[in-house]
Amino acid sequence: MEDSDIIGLYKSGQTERAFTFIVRKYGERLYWHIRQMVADHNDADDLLQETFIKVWNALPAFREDSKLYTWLYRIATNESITFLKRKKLRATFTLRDPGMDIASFIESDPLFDGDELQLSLQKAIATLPPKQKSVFVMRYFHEIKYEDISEIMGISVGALKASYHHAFNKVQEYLKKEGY
Amino acid sequence: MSKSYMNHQQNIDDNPQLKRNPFKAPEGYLESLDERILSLVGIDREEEVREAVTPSLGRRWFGILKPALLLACTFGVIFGMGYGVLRLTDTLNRPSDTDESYYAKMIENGLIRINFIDSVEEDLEYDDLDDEEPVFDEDTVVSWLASQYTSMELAQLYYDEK
Repeated sequence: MEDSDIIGLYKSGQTERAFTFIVRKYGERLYWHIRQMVADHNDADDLLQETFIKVWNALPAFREDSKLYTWLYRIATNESITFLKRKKLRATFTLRDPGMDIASFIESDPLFDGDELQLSLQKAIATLPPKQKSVFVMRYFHEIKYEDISEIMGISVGALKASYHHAFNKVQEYLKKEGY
Repeated sequence: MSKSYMNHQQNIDDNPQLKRNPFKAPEGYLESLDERILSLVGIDREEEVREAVTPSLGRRWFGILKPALLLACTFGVIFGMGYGVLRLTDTLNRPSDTDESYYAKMIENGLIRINFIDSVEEDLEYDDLDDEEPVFDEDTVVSWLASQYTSMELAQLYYDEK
């Protein structure tokens, strides 16, 4: 079902059906987006639930100024960024490196199904600041267009390209240091 | 993937293997994802959900008037309780201080004293209808007062008279 059809359903008063279609169409995609941001399944699950509660509550205010899918990604991305910032803050207070925390978590996570190179890539991504990380994840893994990422994050396309380039080089450097 | 494999690559963009999602979801998680999220917002409770998103006109008006109605109800309850107490103690049936007819009747019936002098005169027991007005000397009045009233009562009577 197209996003415009879902919005049409919602406008006609079929709110539950519209929301059901949104969840069916975007639930899994948003889960993977969040999961690649935070790495831990339990955190991703919590954030996904928070995201959809916010979507449900904010749906009456959706104005169609943006596309439905960029609006959904925006909510999910904001939730993830806020979570990562809090995690970083907590780690700072306990004198830990949040990037290392995520990296060591991934290493021992039974739900990580990648090879050594993929593990190194995830470790490299874990070192990126939250916003840069979200730009990298959306562009590199999901191949979302810059124009849409711009809509999701509220950042100009030029600034996004610079941010992605910066993140890309950092990841590349990290992998080189690891010997790849 | 070996390290040498990556060395032959120009950058991470050229390695499709790297773009593959390396994470797994717990078994059955994705299959039940829709159901769990939908139940999270109570989508199965149709009416409640619909009203939570678009409340009916009546509900919206009730929402606006609710504080005023609550205030009115509170006043009503307080008034009712106050009225009940007054009814129970029969205060409402008592006349006010300005109810002249009531006092006039009471005075007429000799149930209350008009003032200090009246009370003294009444207690001295003379019949104002038949007898001539008696003449009392000052010593008689003072000694009678001393025998009948305490100093506090006299002070109160004097205060009331003023």
